[in-house]
Order: sequence, then structure tokens, then C-alpha cells
Amino acid sequence: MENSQIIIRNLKKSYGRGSSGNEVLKGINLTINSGQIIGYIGPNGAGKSTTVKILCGILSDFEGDITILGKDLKAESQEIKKHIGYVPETGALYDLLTPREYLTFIAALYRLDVSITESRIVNLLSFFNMEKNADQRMDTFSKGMKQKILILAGIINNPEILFLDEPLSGLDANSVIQVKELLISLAKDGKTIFYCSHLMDIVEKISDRIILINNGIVVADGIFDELRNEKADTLELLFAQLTGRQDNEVNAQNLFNDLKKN
Amino acid sequence: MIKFSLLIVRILRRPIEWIDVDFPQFEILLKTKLTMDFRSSPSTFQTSGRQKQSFFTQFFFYAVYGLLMAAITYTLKDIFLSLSVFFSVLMVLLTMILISEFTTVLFDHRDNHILLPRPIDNRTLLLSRLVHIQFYIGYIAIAISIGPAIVIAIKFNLLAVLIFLLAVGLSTWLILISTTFIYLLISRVVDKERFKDLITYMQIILGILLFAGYQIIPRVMDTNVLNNVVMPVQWWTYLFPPAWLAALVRISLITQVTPGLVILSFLGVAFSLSGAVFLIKFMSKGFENILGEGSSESVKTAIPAGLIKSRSNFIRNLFCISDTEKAGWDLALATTKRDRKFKQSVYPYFGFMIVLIIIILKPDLKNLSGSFHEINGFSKFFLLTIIGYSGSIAVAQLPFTDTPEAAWIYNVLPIRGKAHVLSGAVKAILFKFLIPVYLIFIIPAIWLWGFLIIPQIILAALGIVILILFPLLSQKLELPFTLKRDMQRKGMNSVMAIFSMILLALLAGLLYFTSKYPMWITFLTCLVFITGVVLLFRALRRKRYSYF
Repeated sequence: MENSQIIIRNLKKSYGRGSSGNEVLKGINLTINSGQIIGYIGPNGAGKSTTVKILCGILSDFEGDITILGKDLKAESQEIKKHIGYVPETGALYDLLTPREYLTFIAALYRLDVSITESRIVNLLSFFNMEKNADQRMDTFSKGMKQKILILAGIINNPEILFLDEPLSGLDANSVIQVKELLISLAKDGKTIFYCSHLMDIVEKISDRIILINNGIVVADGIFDELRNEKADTLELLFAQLTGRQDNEVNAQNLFNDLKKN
Repeated sequence: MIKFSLLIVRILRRPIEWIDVDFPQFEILLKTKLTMDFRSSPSTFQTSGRQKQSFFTQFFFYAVYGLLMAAITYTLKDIFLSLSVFFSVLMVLLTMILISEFTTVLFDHRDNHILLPRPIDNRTLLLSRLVHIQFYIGYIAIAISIGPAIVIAIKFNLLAVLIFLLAVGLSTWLILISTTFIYLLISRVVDKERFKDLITYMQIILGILLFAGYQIIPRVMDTNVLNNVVMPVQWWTYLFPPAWLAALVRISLITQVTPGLVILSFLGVAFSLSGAVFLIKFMSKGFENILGEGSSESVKTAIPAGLIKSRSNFIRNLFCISDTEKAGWDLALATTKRDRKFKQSVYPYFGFMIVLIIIILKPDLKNLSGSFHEINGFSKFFLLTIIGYSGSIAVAQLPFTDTPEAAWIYNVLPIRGKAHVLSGAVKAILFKFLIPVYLIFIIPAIWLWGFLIIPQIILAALGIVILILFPLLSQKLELPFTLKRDMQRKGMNSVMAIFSMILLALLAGLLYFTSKYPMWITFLTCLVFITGVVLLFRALRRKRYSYF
């Protein structure tokens, strides 16, 4: 337990009340240790993003107990937020700013020293070879370029725990390799990486542990080699097996046939 | 302007830190928001520099409005009385603007993913939002106050002008903290998730209360007060914030300073400061939760399209002449039904409209039926036109959305007459917001004035449609839901509201004029108006879409 960075006990979350309410998380229990890369996967609407939003403090109305870095999330969220990083799935950044302005803004929110901030921004931008874009407004950037800035903003405070929600969306192959290597390096340094994605091959390759949720509950949790079986020797197949969608090919053929009719 | 605002904020650093706000975070939040507000949006569908243009247009219109206010300040001899009148009008107007257009900014959750995972406490977040809004409300207030400030400079001295501008600043701050206080108080007693849905209704209720209060105060006042040369300090003035601020300016003249005026001035300053301290220190808890829940994805079940269509398809097919127009109609009906920000921008005006009707009717509670029957002449016709006013606000909101990038569809789809989308959407909005209002009104109108009022109502509704279509034709074609809602356009609704009243009065004058002649004149005018509406819609459909 000493090594536990995140402890989640009976986490529940509903959107809406009464009959129209939608219970997204139905009792998640997890203990996550430092230095791990957690592949947090599940079908659309399974509750992945909701879990991450709760852990990052975006959603504060939930049931259950969460301890992060030894602190209770409900009571000490501000203290916890100083030590976490977050890369959202949506392109949530102020794109009327330049990367330098935006990263300076984020660094200021973490109260980083100005001199550290300046040199760190240069180093961060050079990681993605974006120094030349430092003073261009981000509204002209491609989706991939914006995603790179989101990743840099997520790590600017050198967080103990990094939450990533579909971080590779829109990135080119070289950048994907770079991010993968970065995450592995961070984990080796003792950081905890909480990685949500639909890209099964990448999750399979980089994760130390895979957690699969479906309909708001954990349906699989362990190292991939432990989870695989005769019928599912890849994560993609395992995913299909555990989330009850093994008729994908038939569905695709049906849709194709339907389109041909018209 | 941003630098000047930040300079004021820096001067206030100590008191800001005293209320446990993290000043460096607060400053960077404010600076970043203002910087972005003044950078033109890059959207392919927007013209560069439009924001700045609308910002300065607003300033100009409010300054003109302020000149009218200056006339009041100039004609009334007692500065305490004239400034009490000025601050009451100013505060009512600003509260209307705040409620209808800036509530969405206060509870904006679009940047939740940027701000909430960062270590920013509730107090800092709330104060940064308040000061951000204060910047815009203050800007409008200053525009309105230019005229009266000149009058004060001519009649009195420079010190009085400075104190007057300070009082204007305090008036905006008082409004801001009072309104926010009410919102946060209600958020504590209702479910956080339901709060976001309740805001719209709260806006309407606050609007009605505000207007109602505005009507009650003159009745509480001694009716002779406005006729008197000097306004005395009476018991009700201690409960009347505009009098606090007027007293503050009054005592700056030094002569004839009474203890009553000093107490009133003290109340003005004390409430502004202590209210802010109370709000930030004790009410901000949970502000973050409200924002967080705002970004949650509640399950919203839309009524199956088939059910809606069975009823409105007939009407849609009746009004729309092409498939593209019909698509525009469907798009506008579905979106305006579900877009909370659209509702928040339009629905408060229904509240204001109800109170405006009451103001025009001036019902005698002891003889309600009799007093309604007595309304005739111009007031009756002004009433007929004013009830259609919210329709024009709804049409004006049509181009705005939080997701202008979705407008790519207009360019990708093979649509020949893109303006048909707009004309269909405008027809849908008129069907949704204008026709029901007149249909509801027609029953009491017949009861009050008999069946002969029906042609006048039809004429008024047609006149409103013409007034709505003219501006659309005179400006560049903005297709529905293609422009980003931005800070600098906030306040434009109220500019429209003020100047629309002049047009509505002209229309009412025309109705009054036709009523003086035999009924066939009204019918003939109706025919002319119908032809006008048909021709204007045709012209609208022929407008060219030329963003590229």
C-alpha cells in the first residue's frame, strides 16, 4: 500500500436523477502503484472519461472514496492537483494564444518560477520540434499540432501522475513513437501514467497493466499476458470478447449491403 | 485598455489577497481572458476585425443613449435627485444586460478541461470571472455615463466627475455581486446538475423581479419627490442603492452635506466592499462544482423526430417553398429547442416583455377590468407591437453557436441556394417565437377591445416581420449557427432592445393612424404588408453567400 499512488473504492457516478438518470460508474475499485503505465480501456460510454474527469478534479460530485498521493480527493483536491497532469481527449486549449503564451499561462497556474518556465517551454517545444511555432497563434495549427501542445501542457509541471485521455489523436507516426518513449521514460522515473485509449495496439505495447471497463464496472484487470487466452491472443480480440461485440464483421457487412441498396 | 484594467487590478492587489485570492493566478487568468477577447476569431466563417467593430459600435450606441440620460441630469436642478434617477436607470439597464447576456459567461464551462484540473481555488476562479464580466459591464456603464459626466463637469467640478465615475464603477460592481449572490444562493439549495437547467428560468424570474422592483420604487416614493426641486433623504432612500451612489457624488460637492447623505454614501461603499468580501470568502465554495457539473454529459432524450414532424410538417410545408428552406426550418427548430445558451439569451426577454406590457397597461388593481378597457389610442397599438419584440431577439441570435466549426457542412453539401437555409430558419423562429405570442394575446385582446382588433393584431405581426427582415437584408448573409459567441458581442441585444423600441413606436404610430380610418384601410395595409413580407423573403433567399 505504501507504493499506492491512486486508491479508488466503490466509485460511482450518475448523470441526471431519477428515472432519466444514467449511472455511468457502478462501483469501481482500483489500486494503482507508482511507476506503472495503466492502460484504461473500454467501449464508448463505458465510463473511461468520467473516471479520468473525477480523478483530475473536473467532476467533484461522485460517490465513493478516492485517495491520490495519500490525500483524500474530496478534501484536498487543490493539493493533489499540484502534482498531477492531464491531457484531455477534446482539443481543450485557448487556441487564440501562441504555444508560448499558453504554456506560460498553464505554468503560472502551477506557480512555476518564471525563469524555470521559460527554459522549460523551450525544451518542451523542442521535444516535438516546434520551436519555430512558439509564437504562432494556435488557431492556425493542425489537430496534431494542437494535440502536441496539450501533451506538453500536461507535463509542464513535471507531475507525479499523468492522466491521458486519447493523447495520440491526430499525431503522426513519428510523434506517436516519441510520446510512447516519453511515457515509458516517465514511468521508469517512478511516475504513474493513467492512459485511456481506443488504440489497442499501443495500449498493448506500452501498458504494464490493463484495466478494461464495460458498463461502469471493471471486467478485466491485469498484465496482458495474464489476460490473453486461446480465443483472444491480441488485446483487440480480448476487448471484443469481454465487451460482447464479436459480430463486428457481420455488422459491417450488413451496413455495406444496406448502403448498396440505395 | 487591457493594460489599464490590469493596472487597476494591481493597485487592488492587497485587498484581493486579503480575501484569500491567489493574486498571480487571478492576474494571469484575467490577462489571458482579455487577451483572447481582443484577438479576432479565426473561424473561416467570420470576418476579421468584426469583434472590435461590434465592440466600438456598442460603445457608440450606449454613448448616444447616455446623452439622453445627460438631458435628465441637466434638467433636474438637484444633483441628488437627478443622479438617483440616473443610477436607477443605469442599474436596471445593466442588470438586464448582465442577466440576459453575461450569466453564461459566469457559468461558462467550455474551458473546464483547461482550468479545473489545475490547482486554482474557488475564490480565485470566481473573482477572475467576476472581474472579467465587470470589464464589459463597466465599459457599457462608462459609455452611458460620458454624457452625464460632461454635464457634471460643466455644472460642478472635476472632483465631482471623478467621484461620479467611481460611483458608476461601484454601481456595476454592486449589480454584479448581488446577481451572483442570488445565483450562488440558489445553487446551494438545488441539485448542482439541475442548476444549469434552472439558470434560464432564474434569468426570467430575476428579469421580472427587477422590472417589478423598478415599478414599485416610484410608488413607494413620495409622488411629489420628482416634482420637488430638492429630493429629501427619506427612509426608503436607505434601501435604494441608486440613492447611495447619488449621495456619494452629492457629498463630493462639500456644500450642504447632511448626516443622511453621509450615511447613504457609506452604505454605497460599504455594501460594494463587504458584499464582495462575503461573496468571495463565503459563497464561492462550490463554484467549481457548478462548473464541473456544467460539463457533464447528462442523458438527454430528444422527442423522436416523427412525433415533432407529424405536427409541424404541415406548417413547415405551408411556409417553406424549397427542400433547403425546409431543412433550415428543421435545423432551427431542433437547435433552438436544445441549445441552452440560445434560451439564456432569448428567454429573459420574455420576462422583460411581460413587465413592459404591465408598464404600458398600468393596471388599476381595484378596477382591473375597467382599467384594461380604458387603454386605447397609442398605448394599445404600442402594446400590439411590443409583444412581438422577443421574436426579433430570437432571430438576431440565430447565427450564434459555440461550435461554429460545424458550419463546414454548408460548404461541403451541394446546396444551391444557401440563403434558403437562413430564410427557412427565420420562418421557423417566427413560427416558434412570434406566432404563439400573438395567438395567446388574441383572446384577451378580443375580450378587451372586441373582434375588430384582429386585423390590427395581424397588421402588427406583419409589421414586426418586416422590421425583422429589413436588417437581415441590409447585412452580410450569416447562415444559422456559424458565428462564435464572443465577449465583444455581449451587450448588443440590449443595444438592439433600446433602438428597436423607436422602430416599434413608429410601427405603433402607423397602426394608430390606420385605426383612425375605415376598416378597409387596415385591410389594404395588411395586403401591402403581406406583399412586403413575401418580397422580403424572396430577396432574402436570393442573397449570395460569399465567405470565400
